Amino acid sequence: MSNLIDFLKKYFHNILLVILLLLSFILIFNNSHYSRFKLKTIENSIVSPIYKSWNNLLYYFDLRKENDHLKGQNLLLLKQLSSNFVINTDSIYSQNTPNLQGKSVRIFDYISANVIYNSINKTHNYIIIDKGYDDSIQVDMAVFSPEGVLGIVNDVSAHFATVMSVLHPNTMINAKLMPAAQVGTVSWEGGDPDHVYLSYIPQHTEVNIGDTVFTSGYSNIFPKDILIGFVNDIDKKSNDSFIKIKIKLSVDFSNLNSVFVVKSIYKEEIDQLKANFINE
Amino acid sequence: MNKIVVNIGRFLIFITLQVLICNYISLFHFLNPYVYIFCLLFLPIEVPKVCQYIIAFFTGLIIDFFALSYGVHTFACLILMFVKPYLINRLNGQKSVKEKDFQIFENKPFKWMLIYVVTLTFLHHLLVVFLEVFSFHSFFISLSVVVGNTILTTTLILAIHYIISPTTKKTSSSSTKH
Repeated sequence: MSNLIDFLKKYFHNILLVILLLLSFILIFNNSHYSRFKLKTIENSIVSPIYKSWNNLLYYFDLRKENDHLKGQNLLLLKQLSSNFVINTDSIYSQNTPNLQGKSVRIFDYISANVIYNSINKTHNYIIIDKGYDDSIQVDMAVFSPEGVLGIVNDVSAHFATVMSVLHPNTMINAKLMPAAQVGTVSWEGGDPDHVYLSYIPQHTEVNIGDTVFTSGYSNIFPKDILIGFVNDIDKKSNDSFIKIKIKLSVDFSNLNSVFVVKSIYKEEIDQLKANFINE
Repeated sequence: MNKIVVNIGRFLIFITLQVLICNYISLFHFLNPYVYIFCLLFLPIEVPKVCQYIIAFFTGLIIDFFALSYGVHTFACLILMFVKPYLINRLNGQKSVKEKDFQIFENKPFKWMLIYVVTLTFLHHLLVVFLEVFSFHSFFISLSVVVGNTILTTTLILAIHYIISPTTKKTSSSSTKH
């Protein structure tokens, strides 16, 4: 008897090891539903809550990636807007070319980019974006953010492009005042980075504070109906034939991030026509 | 007493580290370090063997629960615990492990440390990977995973060891004085 106890004392750890190894082997190779189910219940009550709260925390680190996904999706949706297309059914042209009949032709395409430099306090303000002619960006393309119009591409290098922002005295944007449906020109007069002026609106137009200003779409740089801002102040001088309207920009220029560049597909063609027109 | 607290704390920290951070790492899409074996590797050798086995069993079990690999880590940890004293004996040559030396890992040369950690890590990873796959079908792919993982884990473990034991230099310098 004492021999047995001595034996157990001496080899107890080895016996335990064998038992534990057997247990782990059972865990590995036991595929019976019942035991798996029991393990699953332990898992659901202890492991899953821990993982869940930890993942809530980790989620914040993925926000940037998530953001990029959303930007990509926005771009995709933007490209599908019907205002990017001209539908040929009712044009005289399409009647003679049956293969184009009923087909829509894309006139605007979009490229997404990020702002890497931006100024608002100078007399000539520029924005630099992280896409260049390698991403098929060209001079005179329009740039806008989800909040509204930003400017027009001014200079392009391989990987970057300079954008003449709305806050630049040379930027003139053809704009439409709604609901009066009058067309004028938006320009900046220096100083305040939150406000621009809309000029060439006829005296008789009914304007109210809070009216909206969109791009007109006549310039073939901007697609139509991109938000510019809201009427802030009306300056009516009786001796002038036009009203000057102060507009609050919808974009906060001090905080720019992701932007879209508009590619106007038939711009060259239209520009050529315009050039002929001037030569005559 | 102090040593016990340190070791329990070590277990808690390393299991948390493994579960919450290392399990999310997948370098080159397949490397996943198992840093938690640090606390098994550096568990003092004079802890009774029965306790060692029980600790190894439960450590593996917890990791298994979080990795959803029932029993794989448990088995590997037990084998690791079983091999550990023989390896230390062999590396120490003639000297017996049974001399009650608490700082058994703290004044060893780097080469000793490296061989010790690499051998046990390799063994552990070999068991984990092949028990998880449970076939020799894609033998060389599994083996490359084992080798890659071993390099990664060893680097991490040695780095952690030399960072958290700043007493190494002191003890070695004092021992040379005597």
